[in-house]
Amino acid sequence: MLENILQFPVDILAAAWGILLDSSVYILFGILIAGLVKVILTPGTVAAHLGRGRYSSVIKAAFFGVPLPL
Amino acid sequence: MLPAAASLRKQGANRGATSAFLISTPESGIDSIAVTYALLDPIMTAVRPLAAFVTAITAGVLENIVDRPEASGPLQADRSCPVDNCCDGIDCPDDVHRRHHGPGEKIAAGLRFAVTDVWGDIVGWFAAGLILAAFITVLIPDEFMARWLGGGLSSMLVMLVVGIPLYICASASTPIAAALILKGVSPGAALVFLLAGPATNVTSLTVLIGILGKRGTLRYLLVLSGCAVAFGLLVDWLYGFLGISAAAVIGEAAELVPEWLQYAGVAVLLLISIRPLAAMFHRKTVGPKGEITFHAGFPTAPPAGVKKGEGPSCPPSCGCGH
Repeated sequence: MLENILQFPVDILAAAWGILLDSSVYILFGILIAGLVKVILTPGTVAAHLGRGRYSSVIKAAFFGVPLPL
Repeated sequence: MLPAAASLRKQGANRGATSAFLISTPESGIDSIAVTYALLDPIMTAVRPLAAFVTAITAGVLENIVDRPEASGPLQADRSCPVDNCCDGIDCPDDVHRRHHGPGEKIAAGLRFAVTDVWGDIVGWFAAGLILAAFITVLIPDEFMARWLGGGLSSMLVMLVVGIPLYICASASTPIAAALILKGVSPGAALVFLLAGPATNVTSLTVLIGILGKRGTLRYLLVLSGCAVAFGLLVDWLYGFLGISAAAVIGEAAELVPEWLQYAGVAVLLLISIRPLAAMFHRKTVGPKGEITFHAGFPTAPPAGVKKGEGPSCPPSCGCGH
């Protein structure tokens, strides 16, 4: 019984550690690119490109929103 | 996210464009695409941004059909310099404005954004997502969820009910989805969670009503739910058609990374997590509840039509040179 209670947090930490190992390199890669995108593609730039179109503005807003990390 | 959209609307974007932006931005981002590739598989990595794009266009176009956008002056874009705010871009010619900073300075600013803004915004949520995923992995028996959430419309609806009120960002929802798939949840049902989780939550609804109106918010929720379920069913069909077991292939990308690089990655990630986590802990335990600041990178612009220096808060006799 006591063994189980002690084992539980160890298992949780081990599982979290495994996910962290699997993902950290990709996370770093993702946030680095996202940071660079934030310099080039500011939301202000998005607004400047939207225009007034009834449909084109929607498509552009949707398109710009996909990579933006917000 | 919401302040960014609110400010987009203030800069003069129509409702359709604003709701499209409100959907595609939280549902996908470069950071979450990378995490999806690491923890899920290439199919989900491609479908997630595609579903976000299609959902956003559907909601936006519907909005502009139902409520024809008013035609008014040009958009008042915020052109202030993203590197260090050295110039507000007003009365500054394009080719001069573009060359305030060299490529080196821009890359340095990008790295700073990556560590402080991008990772700083998600680190707390990602830690929570990681712990929750670990609990699911340890506590729930394998194949346990296959009975109820193994696919079909009912699984999708359950995931909608869980995902819509939940507040979680796209990156942080990914490890949870991976853990769910390993426990027998169908990839389509997991996708519904990945789409509905980040796009809405209980507190954002009031802000949404402010930006889109009550009917607009209802349409937004209906389109969001409908598209999420449709893409969920489509993804389950696709896995079945290709004869792929999602539980067997997820996380394979992680094996491409050599072990030493994985440890190095964790070390760097933990190192850059110390500051934002410490700041968060500090805010929660000590210190009075300060004003909430958003690091959306989207400074509030003056409302459309108001020229610089004519702000309503400035009386004519203020003496500030008007």
